[in-house]
Amino acid sequence: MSIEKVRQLMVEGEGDAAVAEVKALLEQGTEPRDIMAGLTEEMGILGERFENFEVFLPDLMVAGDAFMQVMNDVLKERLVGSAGGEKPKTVIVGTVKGDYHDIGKNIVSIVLQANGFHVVDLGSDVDPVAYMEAARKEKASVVGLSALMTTTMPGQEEFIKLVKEAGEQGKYLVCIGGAPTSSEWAKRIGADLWSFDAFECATKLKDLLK
Amino acid sequence: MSTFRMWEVFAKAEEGPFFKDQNEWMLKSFIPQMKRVIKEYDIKYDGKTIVNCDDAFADRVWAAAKDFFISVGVYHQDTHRVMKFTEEEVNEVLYTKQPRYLIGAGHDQRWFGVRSIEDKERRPFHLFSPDANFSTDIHKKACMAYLKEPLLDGLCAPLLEDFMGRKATSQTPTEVAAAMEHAMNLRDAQRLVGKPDVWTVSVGTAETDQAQIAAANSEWGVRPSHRDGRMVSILTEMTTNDAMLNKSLHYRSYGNVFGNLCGAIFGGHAGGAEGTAILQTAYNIQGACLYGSCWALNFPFHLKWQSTTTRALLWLQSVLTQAMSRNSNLIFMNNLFANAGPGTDQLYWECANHALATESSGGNPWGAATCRNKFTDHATPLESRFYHEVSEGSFKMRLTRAKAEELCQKIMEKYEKLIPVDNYGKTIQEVYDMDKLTPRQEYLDQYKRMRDELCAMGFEFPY
Repeated sequence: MSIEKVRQLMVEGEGDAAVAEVKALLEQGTEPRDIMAGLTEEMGILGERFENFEVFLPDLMVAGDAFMQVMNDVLKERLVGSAGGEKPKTVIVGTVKGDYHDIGKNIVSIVLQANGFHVVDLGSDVDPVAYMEAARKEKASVVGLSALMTTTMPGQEEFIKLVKEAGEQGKYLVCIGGAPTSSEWAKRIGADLWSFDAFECATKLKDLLK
Repeated sequence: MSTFRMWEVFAKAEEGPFFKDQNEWMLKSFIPQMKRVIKEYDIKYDGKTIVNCDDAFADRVWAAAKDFFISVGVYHQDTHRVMKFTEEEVNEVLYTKQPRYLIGAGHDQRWFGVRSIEDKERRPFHLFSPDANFSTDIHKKACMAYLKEPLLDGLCAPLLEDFMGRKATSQTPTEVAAAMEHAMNLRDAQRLVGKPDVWTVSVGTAETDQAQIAAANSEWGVRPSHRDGRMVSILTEMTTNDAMLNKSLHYRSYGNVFGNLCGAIFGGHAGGAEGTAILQTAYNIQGACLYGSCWALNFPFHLKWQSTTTRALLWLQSVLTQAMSRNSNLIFMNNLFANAGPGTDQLYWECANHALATESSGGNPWGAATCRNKFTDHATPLESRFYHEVSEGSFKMRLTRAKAEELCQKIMEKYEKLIPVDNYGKTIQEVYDMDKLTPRQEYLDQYKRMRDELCAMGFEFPY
């Protein structure tokens, strides 16, 4: 019984076994934040290997699924309640209205979760108003909008316009991404952040939200 | 099941197994089934080869793809049900599939059909397409510039970025109007360069079903008379929705020789080169069964670079092309997405490698899209000319896969290290004289130099 064993089970996607192992560790007196740190580190390693194409999205997905199972079933409440436990920053993610492509958004979700963010995934074909309502409800630090087509990119601009009109500019960061987007496009529409990929997004957000 | 039994197919969207969450289906069905077929059919990539020369391997990829498609089915986003096809249904579709179509009209009429590996009789079908957004003020001129290309058998016109100063936006009147303007520009351009009857694939500006329907018009838009091409997408991965089924219904009833637009993501849900090759091959079966599509446009692309010209991506295209050429009557094209942009040597090398790897494997060239398809006006007919000339030259030389492999390895050395570099090149306005619609001398010189460099490697252009 060890954190190392939990890390291994998580990578193998064995969520149930990982939860059981974590429960046993907690009963033994292991600090939740130590387990969390171990799992986050393992997800980080997996993320780096994914970035280098040594492992692929399915590996990241099954590990991410097990990670979330451990978080939701046993760790989340204990972490928030424990001394020095800091509530994770919330990121709303979704693919914009009219766009049904979600792979980029899904990768961002997994990588952000692995980096300690609380992610609320609104799915694809998301109305700008739905992003805004979710940001208010969740008291989000970031709203991330993905678009894979040139005809759906305006959905990102529409949301930023809505945020300004609602007087909510600055309440949360607006982050955009997707294959046809660029830093030039982000600048043009007034987004706070554009990233080349999910890893750059996580790094930049951690810096900005320090 | 023939391709005409669309209502039985549509019913599957209401009858298949229910998965509330697409991610759950992905984790419980797609990912484990992919792992199974990779292992069961012994699909492995050595990380070096560009052009596959192993027929038995191509056959195993085909068998794995068919098995995978039958096992996993298609996730329908709106009904949350999995549309599954039996082996008997798939076999019937594959058997009854028409292997060639007569398209276009008049002087521009062509046969578009299946080819074989190292085909000695059937030349490739040359579909020119920049797959890029162009500014409204030059859209028609850009269409004309592409239509002037001598090898062109068909054109998929550039996309329109704006309509009346407003960005064309999905599901809004600007998208519908931009789709109509796109179709009108294309028809005008055809008349103005003397190719009124050439086969076109349109309209890329229209993402939604309603915008596609709006652009269908015998007088000024998409024509049933010429069996104009249209496209309906497979969403990533193995997913569809009602909007896609609406498109397939409209295309079939309108009389289009339409295609299935499919791009498996290397590094995505299917994993590495092995899984992506299987998935991309499965997409060709899926398009025929699900949409009744007449052909497929294959654009498996790299998750990080969004291109199709890396070593692994070229290999998997050679494999899937051979897998289908040897085992089916499915018609398809191979889509080039380059990393570099117009006016760069790198772009020419990427074009050459894609043409060589796919033609010798039995494919048809579709291109050329440049600079990861990110920037407006960043594509020209000049690199497309080079791309199609290499494909035609490969055919005329009767290039074997072994010889193609040798050439591709040499060419790969020229650009592989440059792939991560942002080498986005020039716009069409910089490369072309947009009044005369001819390349500027500087870029014509570069094009000729690149031809010479390829010839120095042992390649022969047809003219």
